[in-house]
Amino acid sequence: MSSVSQFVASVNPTASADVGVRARLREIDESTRLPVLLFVGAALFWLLGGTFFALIASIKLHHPDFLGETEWLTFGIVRTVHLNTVIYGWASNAGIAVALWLMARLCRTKLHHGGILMVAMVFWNVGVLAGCLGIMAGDGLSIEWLEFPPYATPLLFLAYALTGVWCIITFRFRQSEHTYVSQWFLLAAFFWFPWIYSVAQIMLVIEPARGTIQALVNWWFAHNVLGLWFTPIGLAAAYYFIPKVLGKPIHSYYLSILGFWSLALFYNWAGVHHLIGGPVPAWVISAGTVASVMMVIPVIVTAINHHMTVVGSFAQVWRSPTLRFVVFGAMSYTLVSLQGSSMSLRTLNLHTHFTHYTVAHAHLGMYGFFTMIMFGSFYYILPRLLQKEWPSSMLISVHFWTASLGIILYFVGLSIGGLIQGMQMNNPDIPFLEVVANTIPYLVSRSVAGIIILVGHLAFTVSVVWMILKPRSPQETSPTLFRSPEAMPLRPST
Amino acid sequence: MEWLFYLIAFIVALCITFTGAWALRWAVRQGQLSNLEEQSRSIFTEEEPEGRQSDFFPGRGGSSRRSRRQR
Amino acid sequence: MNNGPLIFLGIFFALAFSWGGIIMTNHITYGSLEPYFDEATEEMFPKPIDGLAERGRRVYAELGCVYCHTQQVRRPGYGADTDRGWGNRQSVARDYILQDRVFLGTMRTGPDLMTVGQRLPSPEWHYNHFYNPQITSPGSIMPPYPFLFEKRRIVGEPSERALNLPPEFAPPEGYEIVPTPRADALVAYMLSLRMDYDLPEAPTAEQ
Ligand code: HEC
Repeated sequence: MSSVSQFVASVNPTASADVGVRARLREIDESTRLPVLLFVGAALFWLLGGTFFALIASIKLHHPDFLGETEWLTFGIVRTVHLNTVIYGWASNAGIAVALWLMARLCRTKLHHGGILMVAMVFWNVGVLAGCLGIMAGDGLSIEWLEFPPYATPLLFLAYALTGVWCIITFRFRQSEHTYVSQWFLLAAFFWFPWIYSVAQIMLVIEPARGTIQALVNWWFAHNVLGLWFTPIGLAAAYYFIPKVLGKPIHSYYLSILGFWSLALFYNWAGVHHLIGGPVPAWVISAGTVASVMMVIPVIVTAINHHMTVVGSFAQVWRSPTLRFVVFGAMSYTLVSLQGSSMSLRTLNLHTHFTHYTVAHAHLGMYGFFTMIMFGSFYYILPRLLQKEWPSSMLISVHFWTASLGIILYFVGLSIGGLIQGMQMNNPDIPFLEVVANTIPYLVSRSVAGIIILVGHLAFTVSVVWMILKPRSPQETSPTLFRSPEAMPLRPST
Repeated sequence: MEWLFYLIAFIVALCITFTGAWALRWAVRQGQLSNLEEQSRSIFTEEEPEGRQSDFFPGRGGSSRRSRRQR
Repeated sequence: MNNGPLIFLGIFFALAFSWGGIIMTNHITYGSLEPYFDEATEEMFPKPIDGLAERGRRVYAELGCVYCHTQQVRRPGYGADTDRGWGNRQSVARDYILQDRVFLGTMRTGPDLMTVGQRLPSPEWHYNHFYNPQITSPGSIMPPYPFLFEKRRIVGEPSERALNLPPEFAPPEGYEIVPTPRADALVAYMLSLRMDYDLPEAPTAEQ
């Protein structure tokens, strides 16, 4: 109890807003340094691991004999390890890192009890590691997005509880007069994730529901991980960084709120469109389709808002590593969401269901949207945590071009392949093996895209490691990204 | 059976819409949505003020001085 | 301005709504479906699968077959499922009630397997196919599963369980390839996948 009261005391403002804020922004960043850096480090580790597994899986799809002798390297396992490392390893760690930093900044309160977060980080990553090793050992559950064996999940829960509670406490003790829309998204994400995760664990693993109810739970969960965990974090970051870096407020705050509520209402119904035509009640599917189509509202609203904020400032976007990535991510968000709505319509779904088209769609969402926004956020956050400049513009450019061209190639190639696969599969006169053969060129294009993306990830890792290791040069006491107005060279002295 | 799907879908759509409309009305009445545009400025501080770009490629910050507002 | 409560309530109800609608409503309405008792033959459908096949189901999960194969037949109008011979009626919720884990799947890199036991009833085919899909299906991108088999030196008589492989896939002279128990279980599971009964809610399509 005493620590709670100390906590309360320590975040009660005595300084008036004007004087306090500037000093505090820096203090806030400083206070988040260690936990956020740890989460970033873990995220990077899983990003590289996940990319390697992705590449192996991708090659196996056109050269099935590649590494075919080893059981733990069989396609079904490699692909699953890839999914889980990038979702629970990379994306969740990155999302938590960004969310913590944003939350502390937006609440204008220093991060207290960072130790809790470090413990959480350790638990989370040990959980992910145990889960992945478990899958390789053959304990995977083969429930999509929930493959971790039951012995890994308690660790994740514990870690999650610590982070989530921390986040809510921080919000409770906020110093800011306003809650910015990013905070709404973050709070929602931190509240929604444990709910969907525990429902899924209970109804699929602990006390499995009967028959195809499992499929409903499964897709309610799997789609909501995207929609109610990653999407809110990604949008929170976009809503912060776009106006922040440009130095002008978001086009319409009203629209951002509308976007928030419509997303909250519609997204969580949309998941069942993965079961169109399947052995579940038709009305659920209809409801899912309606919700998927209604998702157009939050998406368009968000797109207008981001676009109108950026319009006229493209030069600034181009000059900022953060914004290059974040704006790319925001554009992918619009595209991937509209595509998702269209895929829930029966006419298109007929051709895309059960094909690589869906895989391309998923990657546009998780990579083109979420991962790009996380990269962008890191470009903003890390210099402020480390008080250092990024070491090399060139590496940033390499990272940007490989990541963006890689995902475009991935998406275009696999979407075409998926459509061909879907149309030919629906034509019973074409033998199945011929359908398989016709998709192979596109599967190869995916491996090429994977290699390009891997190069980008290596460049990014080198950047980060270099930045951490390099000594802080004396001129860099105030990095350019970060210079306070007085220290700016061009300012007329007053 | 087709008509049944559409009927149900329609009802679901109505429910969702009305819930949304109701929540919105409630929020407006509570005054939750007033002062909105001011909230959008809450991300700027003295350290990183409105009107100034706060991120550049390393070493190239100088080239964007034009975008910095003189105060 | 304190809009914390509004945000929290909204966040809560938004998810509660879909959780109630998608999960709980269905759990209540058909979460306790029972097998169908056919009065004419005095049999229950669907039938439970035997222990070996049940173990094969576990192997199916371990090896991640579900990422390339679905187990659901959609009714005509949704793709060519029945035309491709993947089943002669659509699969319905009741078909799955005895499975402790449902492998509906979402990807058809390979064909649907809901009725593969009827379509490919020969165990030899499956053993060869799992050992290396190129034997039975040249050009397939299904991975080989050689680790489900044991390559061993022939001592005395060759085993009668040894695979009968075409020359280009055969082991070197003096060796033979025999299935492990996991391969046996997986094949038993494949053969157990069938939909050769009628349910009142899903009559067989008239030809
Ligand atoms: C990389 C994707 C992939 C994985 C993983 C995979 N398969 Fe396949 N499977 C295919 C493809 C493609 C075909 C069609 C060509 C062929 O017969 O090999 C196929 C065909 C089959 C067939 C024959 C079906 C028919 O109607 O011709 C069976 C049975 C089968 N797979 C079982 C399995 C089992 C059991 C596993 C897991 C141990 C598995 N598959 C894993 C891709 C895959």
